Amino acid sequence: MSSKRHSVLPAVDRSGPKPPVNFSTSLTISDNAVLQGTHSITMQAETVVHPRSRIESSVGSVLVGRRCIIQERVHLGAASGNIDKGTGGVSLGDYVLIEAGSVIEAGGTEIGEGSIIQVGSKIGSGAKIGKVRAESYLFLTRRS
Amino acid sequence: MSRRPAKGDYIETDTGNKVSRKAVLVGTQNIMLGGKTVIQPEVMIRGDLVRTATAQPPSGGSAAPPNTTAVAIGRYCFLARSVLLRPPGRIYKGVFTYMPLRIGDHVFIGQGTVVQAASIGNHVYIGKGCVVNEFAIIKDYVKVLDGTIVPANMVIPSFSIVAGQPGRVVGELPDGAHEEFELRDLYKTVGNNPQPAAA
Repeated sequence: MSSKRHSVLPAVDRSGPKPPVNFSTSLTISDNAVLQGTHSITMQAETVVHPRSRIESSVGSVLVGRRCIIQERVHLGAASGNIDKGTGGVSLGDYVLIEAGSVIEAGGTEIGEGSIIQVGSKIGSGAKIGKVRAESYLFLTRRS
Repeated sequence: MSRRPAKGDYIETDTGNKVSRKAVLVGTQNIMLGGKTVIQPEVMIRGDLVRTATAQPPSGGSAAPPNTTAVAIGRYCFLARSVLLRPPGRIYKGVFTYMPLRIGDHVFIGQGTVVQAASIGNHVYIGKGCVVNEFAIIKDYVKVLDGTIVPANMVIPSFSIVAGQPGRVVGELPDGAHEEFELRDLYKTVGNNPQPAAA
């Protein structure tokens, strides 16, 4: 009982290139979040990023709007299995909530203002959701 | 100081909890484990999401330390691989606050399940790949089948079987099914000195 057990979080995997970032000063981001890739990552004012979320800009740039919440285990900007799907990155509008464990593939994916992506969703490459365009393509499937 | 230099995959506490070294427990001071609970690798528990709105103390009562338990787990619970426990949050009296997540005794939570319930009773089985959404209440002796999405604020009565997306009560547990919920044997099969399952 004399030795106090130290409580440490297991280290996160930080391999891969560090992306150029453009963060607002009012951003709340966990030091356990993983940022990697080669394109730019932009996060606007008062956005919250929870621990163990993964934001990847290896396919294209990532834009996160104002007051978004990105919960734990989210993979934003995942590489699509289908290579000839569109180019470009991921763009989230303002007030977007991405709940735990969701995967948002890169490749011109756009999620409009105020959308809620619930637990464990997968948004495919090139999907346009919410108030983005007149024609919206939805690839909403449960995790496979 | 350590008498056992050889590290196992699990940390075994004095109260018999077996916590994997690969589990991610955030805000450990706000996580209560009742004892004999198994936490497998890649489990994540968000103890840092504590109540932010403090309840108004009764007049006269002062300086009582606020109750900051975010996640309370009973005895003989089993959290399978990559389970996520996350206290539910909502707007309360105009401010956003998280509420505690309470889990009873003998609760099994299957692989990859996300739990954001308000409370889970005793002897509950939750399958793999489920989502229990915010402020759901699961009473005692409930079986949630694999892949169920329990909607937010749903109250599941005792002895129910729940399935579907969205989850709904699809049946009732038969009388003799209670032994299935006994997790003492499962507890013995994991840890640093696992014992084979009883025949």
